[in-house]
Amino acid sequence: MQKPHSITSPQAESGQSLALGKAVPSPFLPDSNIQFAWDSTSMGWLKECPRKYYYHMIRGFVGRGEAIHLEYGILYHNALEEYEMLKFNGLDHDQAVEATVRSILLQTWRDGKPWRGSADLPPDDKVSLKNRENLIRTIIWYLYKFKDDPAQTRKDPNTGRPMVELHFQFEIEDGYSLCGYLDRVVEFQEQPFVMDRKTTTSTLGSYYFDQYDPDNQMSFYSFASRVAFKTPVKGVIVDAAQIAVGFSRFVRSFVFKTNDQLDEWYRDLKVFLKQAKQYAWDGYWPQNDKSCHKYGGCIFRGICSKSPSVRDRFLESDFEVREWNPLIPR
Amino acid sequence: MSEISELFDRDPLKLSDQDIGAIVARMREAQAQYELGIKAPVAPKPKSAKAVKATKDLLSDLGLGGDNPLDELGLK
Repeated sequence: MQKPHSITSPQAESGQSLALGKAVPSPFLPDSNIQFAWDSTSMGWLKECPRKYYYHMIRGFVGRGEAIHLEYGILYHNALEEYEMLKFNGLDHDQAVEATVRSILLQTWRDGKPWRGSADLPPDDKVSLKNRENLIRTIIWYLYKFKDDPAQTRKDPNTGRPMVELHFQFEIEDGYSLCGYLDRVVEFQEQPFVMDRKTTTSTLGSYYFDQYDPDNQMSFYSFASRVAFKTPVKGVIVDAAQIAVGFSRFVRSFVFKTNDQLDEWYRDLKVFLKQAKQYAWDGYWPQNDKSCHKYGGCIFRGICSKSPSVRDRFLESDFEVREWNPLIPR
Repeated sequence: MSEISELFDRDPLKLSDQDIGAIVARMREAQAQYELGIKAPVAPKPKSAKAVKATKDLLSDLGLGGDNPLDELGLK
């Protein structure tokens, strides 16, 4: 699951940024564009295309459609986490579902009216399926479909609490740290897995699931589980919810990770970290023009196709600035 | 759906427990209809026999027993 953006412009000169009124450290070394705290999202941008990383992470540009996906994902995760905690605190299934629904209705009531994240988008844009009513439907359908989930949430051995929405941050080599959140750690057939929840308007077929194997995020989370939670998982269960007209549909798929695969991923990660430092030193993040058209096309494709001299003007008019800071807690 | 639309448009602080229960009940009813096939989803393409065998072999190597552990999770 992705983390929220902060609500401010890109990192301040002081190396601090403001999020929700609280000072949080910048993920960059002071007075530089060298990122030391990495989450799977920022690493994914870098791997996909250094220029995409530059626009998103260094400049803080985000497309309007992207903001809806982010907010929808956060609300969906909040609901499922809340349900899990309500059950842990003694409510039965029906009580926990109703309390969760009430909570999400409240969270999506903004300025005296229902949240309409996609109000500015054309009605035929599939993003508009990610609306309030469909969110509530998806949550309710999910909780009833998996009322007796064969994948059971693991309990923290120290606190006894369910292992959901687990924040991690740990140091690796050369002063770098990896951070992020695991949605849920589960036990399936007596084997531990990370469970990662996704919402999509795409059809849940093999084409959809193929994008996660191999995938940076799946390796990142498996690696994090091994290091931060001393839980050497077998891999990740992708728990996907398709939001469609009139129905929500759920499909799960496994992504297995062996220790050898994770060691390889970590070795590769260190190469990418070196590259990122070099780009920051040079002050130049090159385009990977073979990535522009993947997965429906990069959001910056229209920018990169223009002459360099006019790009900033288009960026400022077509995108909003919302800093992505891996160090901001949810 | 008009009753439920009206509930969604109401300030959540003013919704009673019965109103929340009505939202859940209406959604459950829609889910039951969907599961009965009143609106069937597009099924994903079936995997080739070779791919299914490779997946089963991998599950076996990982110590995940059972005839078909994928079925239990409702997996593709």
